Amino acid sequence: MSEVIVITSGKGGVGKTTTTANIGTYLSMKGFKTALVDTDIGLRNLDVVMGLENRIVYDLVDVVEGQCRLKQALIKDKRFDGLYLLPAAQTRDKTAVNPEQMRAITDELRQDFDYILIDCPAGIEQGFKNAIAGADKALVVTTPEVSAVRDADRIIGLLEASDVRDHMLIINRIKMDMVKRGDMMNIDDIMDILAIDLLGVIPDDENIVISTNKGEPIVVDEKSLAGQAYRNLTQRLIGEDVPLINLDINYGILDKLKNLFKISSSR
Amino acid sequence: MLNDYVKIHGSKDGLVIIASDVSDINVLREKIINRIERSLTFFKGAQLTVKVRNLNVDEKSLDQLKELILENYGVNVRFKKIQDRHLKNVTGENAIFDGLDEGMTKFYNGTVRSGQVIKYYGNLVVLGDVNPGGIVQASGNIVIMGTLRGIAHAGISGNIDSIIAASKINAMQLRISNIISRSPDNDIEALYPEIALVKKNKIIVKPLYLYGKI
Repeated sequence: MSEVIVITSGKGGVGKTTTTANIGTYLSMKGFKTALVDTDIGLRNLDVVMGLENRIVYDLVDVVEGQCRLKQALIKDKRFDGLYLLPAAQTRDKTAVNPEQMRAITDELRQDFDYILIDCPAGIEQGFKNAIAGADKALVVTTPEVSAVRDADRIIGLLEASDVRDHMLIINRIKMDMVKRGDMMNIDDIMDILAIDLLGVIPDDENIVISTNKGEPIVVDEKSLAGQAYRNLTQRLIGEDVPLINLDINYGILDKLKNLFKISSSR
Repeated sequence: MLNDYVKIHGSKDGLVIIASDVSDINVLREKIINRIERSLTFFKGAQLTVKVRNLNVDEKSLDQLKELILENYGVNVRFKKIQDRHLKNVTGENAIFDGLDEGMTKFYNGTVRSGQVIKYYGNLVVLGDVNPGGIVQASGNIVIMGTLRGIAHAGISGNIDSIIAASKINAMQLRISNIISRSPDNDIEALYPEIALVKKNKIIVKPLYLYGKI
């Protein structure tokens, strides 16, 4: 039984692509055959984050237009077996594909893959409509900012109107120290407004920038906090019972680290 | 219809009549005279060039026609055979380009950015960089006076002898004819101009100063 999951947000820059790359990578590490589909035609990024940019020969639009077969366009990941990427075209725009064609592609992918993750572009226009066309489930990514939460709310409304009723929330880039000081929205505030199930919370982590630039998803990094959060979140997605990371404890660790630095710098 | 047969426009050759294929001098004479008579004052004293795509009549009868028109109407006529506009070395999509040493060349001024495609049937020179996600394609050689970070595809219509040269080759992919190579994953930045060409069905990249020496 395969599942098509769209990762969406409405607002740009909240971490859709990073989330797609990390969940996808960890699913394949868990042994599931996984396909990542980049639907951000004209502004593709997933290939860069996965470090597969230099392997692209055919893309989504070539498949849709019949220039190549779907299997020719799928790029095998360089680290993990069973992980494939269908890149977006860079030289075209969102109108090059329509929702029916997307549905046909996801249906074809279902035959070979356990999970199909669709990286949705920002916005609510054609790109969004294409991305959600074949989806069974949606993961809505937001950050603890009023603007991102507002857009997430709008997206949830649109998903419901498009009959994608199975959706879950991912809160990305939370800074527990700021929440503690009352400078950042906390998880309860966000859940209050959006009122959907929470899949996971990802702490803000500088290593994400490093991993994105290197083209290596952070889930691979055993030590990283954000990587751990993505691993837990993915396990929850496949139905394993993993408690949410207690970010307070993590805050404690960070605090200890800070103290350690204070000691060492005072020497 | 007459209008289908002769069109008039002004050019550096004076007034020009363009006629399509002619094999009968009488038909040609009739048509030209007809045309002149319709607007005699307009043509008077003018230099008239008649351009004909296919002129299958002998020189002698042409001269007679010229004389006749000059005497009767005072119009000086020249005949000129139209060359079908056919630029050397410019080829269509499917023909192999053969102007690698000397042939049609496009100069592109500026940086080719992500998502832009510069395509030319001939040789292509880019006076700028090609950024990641940018694509340059030519049926002949490609020369980039900057850093190649995107994709360059030389010999798109099938010429395997075409080359890609750049001040720095740091490309995502190099393609020559139907051969593709991608950059190694642990990329080392080139410090000198390089050239890419096909050897034994593989694309190799070497320093430009070694080109032609080995």
